[in-house]
Amino acid sequence: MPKQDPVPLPYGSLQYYQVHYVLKSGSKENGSFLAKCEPVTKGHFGGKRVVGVKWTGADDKFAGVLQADDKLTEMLKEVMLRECEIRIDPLDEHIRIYGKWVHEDAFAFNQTMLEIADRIAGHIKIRLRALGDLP
Amino acid sequence: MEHTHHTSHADSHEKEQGHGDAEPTIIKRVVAHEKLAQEMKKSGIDCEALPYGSHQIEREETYYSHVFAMSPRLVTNKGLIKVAGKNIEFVQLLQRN
Repeated sequence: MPKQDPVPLPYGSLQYYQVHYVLKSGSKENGSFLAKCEPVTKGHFGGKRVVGVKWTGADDKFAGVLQADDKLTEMLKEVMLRECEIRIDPLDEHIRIYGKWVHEDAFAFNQTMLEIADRIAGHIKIRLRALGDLP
Repeated sequence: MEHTHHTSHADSHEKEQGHGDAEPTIIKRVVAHEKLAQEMKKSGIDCEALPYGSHQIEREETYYSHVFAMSPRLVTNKGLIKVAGKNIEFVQLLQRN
């Protein structure tokens, strides 16, 4: 059995990990892609379930595109109870998509989360192409 | 996060711990992002774990725009994975400080 320090240091790395899905945008005007997804739930405790998702963003048009994607909504319903919130965070020349911090005991690769990020990235790329920022 | 695998292969990253007459236990240390890349490959995703700190994205000043509330200030980059054949180009693993 591993020895646990009874008086752990109050600083340093914590046992929490986050996976960022990154796509290059090639544009510094990414602000319109800022968005977040929150679950719409019913019930409490063990009976809590996700009945829908709500996208809010800096650009209502882009949030509307994501909200209108039924397949994306279905995939999000699967993971939102665990992820709680998914954020689209635009930075200079790249955009990050990420969920919540996960403790290392529960940390594992999530295929559905990657597919969700990939689908969101697809919508971003369509929009970037329409704006002429992506070849 | 260090992951250990018991394996019969031996390379430079492996250590042998002998205990008398018992079979030696070989412990292989796998870096966090390499472990994640292995799991992704098992799921059929074409990806490759990049050497630590080799890409510009890893050397950014910050990994967050800080527009969202409660965005962490102190995080540690734990590695980057290049993904092929998808709309996303990279998967980055971060550890909270």
